[in-house]
Amino acid sequence: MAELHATRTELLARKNQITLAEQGRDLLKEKRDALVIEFMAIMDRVLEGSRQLQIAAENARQALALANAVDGTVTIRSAAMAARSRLEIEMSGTYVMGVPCPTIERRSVHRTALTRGYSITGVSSRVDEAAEAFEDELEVIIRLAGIETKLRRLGTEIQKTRRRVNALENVILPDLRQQVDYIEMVLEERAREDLFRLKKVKKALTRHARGRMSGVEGHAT
Amino acid sequence: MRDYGYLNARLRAMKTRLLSRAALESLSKAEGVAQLMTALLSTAYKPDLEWGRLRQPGAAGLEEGLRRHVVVTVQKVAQYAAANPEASAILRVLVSRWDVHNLRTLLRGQHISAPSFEIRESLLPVGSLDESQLEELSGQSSMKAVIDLLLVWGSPYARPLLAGYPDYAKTHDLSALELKLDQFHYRYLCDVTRRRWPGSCLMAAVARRRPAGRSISGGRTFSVSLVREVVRREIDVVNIVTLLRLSREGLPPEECRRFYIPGGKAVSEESFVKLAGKGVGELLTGLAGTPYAKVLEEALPRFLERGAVSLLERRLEEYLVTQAVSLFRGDLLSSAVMIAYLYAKFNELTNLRLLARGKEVRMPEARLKEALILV
Repeated sequence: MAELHATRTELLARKNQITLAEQGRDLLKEKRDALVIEFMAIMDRVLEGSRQLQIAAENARQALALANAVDGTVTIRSAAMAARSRLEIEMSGTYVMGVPCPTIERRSVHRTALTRGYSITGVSSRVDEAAEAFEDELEVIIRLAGIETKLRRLGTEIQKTRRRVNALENVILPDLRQQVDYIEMVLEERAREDLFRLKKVKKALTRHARGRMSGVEGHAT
Repeated sequence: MRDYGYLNARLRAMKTRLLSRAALESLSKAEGVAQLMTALLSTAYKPDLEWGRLRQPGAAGLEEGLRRHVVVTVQKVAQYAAANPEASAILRVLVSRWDVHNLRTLLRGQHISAPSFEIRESLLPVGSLDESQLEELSGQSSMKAVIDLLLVWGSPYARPLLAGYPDYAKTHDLSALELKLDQFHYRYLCDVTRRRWPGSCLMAAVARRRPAGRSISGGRTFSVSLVREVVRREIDVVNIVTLLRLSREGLPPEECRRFYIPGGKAVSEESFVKLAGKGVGELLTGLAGTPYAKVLEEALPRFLERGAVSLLERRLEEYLVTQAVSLFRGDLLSSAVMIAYLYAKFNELTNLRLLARGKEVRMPEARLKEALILV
């Protein structure tokens, strides 16, 4: 406030800033609302995905436990060496209300018993079933990873937008309004002072004029 | 000498230390792995389980202990059978599955260039390759080096691997190499339990003492015939399970021919190709008249409910175990006791692993019971 120049130009600039801030706030509110709508829609999918992941993980754990128990850990570890492979995922991106969100290409990770790398005559079907269960889990993880990242980014953006709206509403706009009030007060004060000064000048001038008039009249008499 | 008296006496004594059905049922009521471990510490498993739990906690430690128990048990049986070359050779046939497992693991490790410690973790020194040999093999720098070393040591498995290696080097298709190994393994077992002469250690052992032995057919003794039956049943089960698994793959029947393992009793190569790609119903029709059809029929409702081939496979395994364990009631002066004991022991170890893993992951009781084989 100390650096504020109480001038009409400053007052106009501040009023313009208020208008701009109000527009920004309204836009941000709209963005926030749109993000919340998008967030809630994804939230349902994430919750459903998490539930599916929990089920898939439990199934995989049970299938692995069964394979480990019946065939032995060494057999499973050995089969895992044969089935080890690299999983490639394609990623692209989209924008939701200006928020960059990754899109993970959904490619099936399922392999058949004949393509897992081991010979089916040397590995039990329990190993296949455990592998299938883990492939199911992996597919849910990949699907969920894209949605969850989107959800997280939207969540962060909602928080950021909310903070901005709050900052505009509770800090910037009140500050600007206070500044406008202050400038208006100073300008009014200054106007009053000017008026008072002018009245004093006018009074002095009137008095002076009157004095001159009475002096002229005295001379005349 | 082909006297089974001493060996069978020791095995029958060891049989008394096998857990009874009631003991297993009471173990299945344990509330967790710790309680199961405590209960098992009062059995013959004590020293091995103590060794295992020092290495790893929980079910993993218990399993480590059980793995050691397999090694110790097989070593003990081998020691008792040492005076009887035929029994030793039969024992080698019965534990040869571990040879194939170890070889597969070595190949797989080399296929992905796994570090030697990772390969070693998945090896089990049961079978013809001992711990130092397995360590030496796991330390080799390439698959070719492993095969060459096997060749130097005169392993029978070196030949199919050497024959299959050029194709592998071209295509990097490990499953094809493994399939060759599996086919050779069963062919080898059939050969050693069929051929009267020459070559195989088993028949060489039999042949050396032939005049004193009871000959069944083609110079085979009764003991060899018993193990031959076991091998042929195992081949049948492998072929049936392969058919069940292939039914989901959608391969043309002719292409399925390459998965056939010759040597079984119930499934000929032609019927294998005919049944390949068909559903369970047709498989049952094709197997009509064999004991496997009955086993599969019994498990069919559960299979149709859950669609898991492992359910049928487990029932077929149960059939193998039951048949083998029933040999306890067989000829006391033959390999019957050894076959029965080893199958009973391996089954018991599987049951204990099932209980431990089941407790660990809180497996539903119905599923656990389904997997347990109580004989």
